[in-house]
Amino acid sequence: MNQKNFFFRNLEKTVGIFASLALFAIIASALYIAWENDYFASTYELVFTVQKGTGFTKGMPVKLSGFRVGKVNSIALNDQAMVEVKLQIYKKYRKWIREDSEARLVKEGLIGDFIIEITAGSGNARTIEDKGVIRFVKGRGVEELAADMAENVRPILVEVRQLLSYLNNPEGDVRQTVKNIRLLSGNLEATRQNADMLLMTANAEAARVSGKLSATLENADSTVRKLQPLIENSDSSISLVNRKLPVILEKIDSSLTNLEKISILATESAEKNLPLLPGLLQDGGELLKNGNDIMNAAKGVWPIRSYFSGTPEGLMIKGDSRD
Amino acid sequence: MTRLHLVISSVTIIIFLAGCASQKKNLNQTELQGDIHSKRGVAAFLKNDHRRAEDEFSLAYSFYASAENERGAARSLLNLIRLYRLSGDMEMAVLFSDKAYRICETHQVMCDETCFEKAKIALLKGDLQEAKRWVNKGATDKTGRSSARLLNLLATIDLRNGALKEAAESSMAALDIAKGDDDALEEANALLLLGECMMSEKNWKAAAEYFNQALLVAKKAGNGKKVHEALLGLADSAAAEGDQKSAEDFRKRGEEVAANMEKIGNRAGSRASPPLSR
Repeated sequence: MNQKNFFFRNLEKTVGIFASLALFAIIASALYIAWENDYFASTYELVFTVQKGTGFTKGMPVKLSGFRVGKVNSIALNDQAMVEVKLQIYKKYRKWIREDSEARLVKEGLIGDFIIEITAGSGNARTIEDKGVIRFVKGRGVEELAADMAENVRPILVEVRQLLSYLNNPEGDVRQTVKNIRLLSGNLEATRQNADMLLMTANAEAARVSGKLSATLENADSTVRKLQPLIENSDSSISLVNRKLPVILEKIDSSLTNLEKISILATESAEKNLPLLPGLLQDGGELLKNGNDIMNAAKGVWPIRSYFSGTPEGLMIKGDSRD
Repeated sequence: MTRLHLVISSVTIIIFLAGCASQKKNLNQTELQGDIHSKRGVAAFLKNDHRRAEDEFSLAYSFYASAENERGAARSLLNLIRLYRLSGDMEMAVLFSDKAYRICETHQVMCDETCFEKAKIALLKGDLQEAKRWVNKGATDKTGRSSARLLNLLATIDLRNGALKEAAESSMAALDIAKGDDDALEEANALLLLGECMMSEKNWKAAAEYFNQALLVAKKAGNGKKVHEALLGLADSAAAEGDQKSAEDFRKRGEEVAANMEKIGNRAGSRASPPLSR
């Protein structure tokens, strides 16, 4: 009974502690979320205007050199039907965002989300004030890139199509060549078989020739053996010739000396007698001619001509009663 | 000097002077050209070059005819006739034989040779009667020196006609004339014909004897064609007698002779020369 009274006696105090802790936790969470969402960061506003709002979304990050420096605060159409984009930038990065800085819409990585990237300004340019305008540079979007790529690829595609039609033409060189290669490959099999047969025949022939070659070599060997005594005899003959040759050469030398003397005598004799030769020849020719004339005249004189009557020899094909 | 010596000397001088009075006519330059072409033609014919022979004989005829040398012209025509006949071109042979016969009729030159060619052409055509007529006509030319040849041709015709007795008589007469004229070719022909007559009479021994004599004459004359014919005749007679071994030996010898004649291009060894294309 006493124990029951203890719990109830502190009930109000206990509930108060729990409620206070819960309230504290809620407030702490809310503060944490606000902190995380930069509700407590000091910011300023930059503005730029674009033709189309495609790609822009509220809250999309704004980055400078890869660091998140702010976010898109609002997107709205202005009086000229242009899209006005307001950026909320943390003041601590203000010193890098200057009048020559540029904002552009880019994709974070190849498949990432769109972000707005701001380039750092040069040191001599002034920083942009709150609600100031930053220059927006239109980046080349995927569509444009794709269009450019398509433009560049189109001629290639046309050429590829032409190449394919050329390759697929049944009467074209390539198809004909393939056909010929197919035929050739078909024939190659037969050729290979023939080559195999040829090689087998060649092997057999080589074996046969090898056998004959061996026999021939053996014969040559025996012949060389037989020649050995002959060579030895030749050696002895050569040594004999070596001994006799000087004597023979001396005899030849003396014979040549005699021959030279005879030649000198013959030359002298020819010099004396040669001038007479043309006259002798002419006389001989005239003598022969006269002899021929006398013979011809004698042939025409009776009774000698009776022995030369008929057809002169060699003027007529001889008749043959049985030809 | 006796009277007899005086008479003999006088007669000799008179005869000699008479002979000198009829000196042989000298040939002019054109006729000599005809002779040159005739000789070239005969040489080409013996080498079996019928085309060249035809050209040469034609040129020779032109030279002789341009100088109105009838003997030379007739001789050239006879050469052409023999060339065409042996080449198998009978049409041309007949054409030129008619031309040659016109010269014979007009100038009485080379008549025996012309008639001989006419007879040969008729014989080749198978007209034995016409052939015999031309042979007889040729025999009437007393100036000719082809009696043995004509008689052998007559014997050939008679043999074909089956008149063995007449054929043998003609051959025998031809043999005597050929021996007297020292004409080995026709002597061999006469002996071969006699051998054939004996073969037809089935007198094998006599036939073999004639063929053997023909072989000896042909060998002496160096005539391969006649040697070949004689050997074949001996083979036939030996075979008819039943001596097959000898027959085979003779036949082999004959074939060998023919083969060697072919090798050396002897036209006598050729069976048939190719006809000249016109």
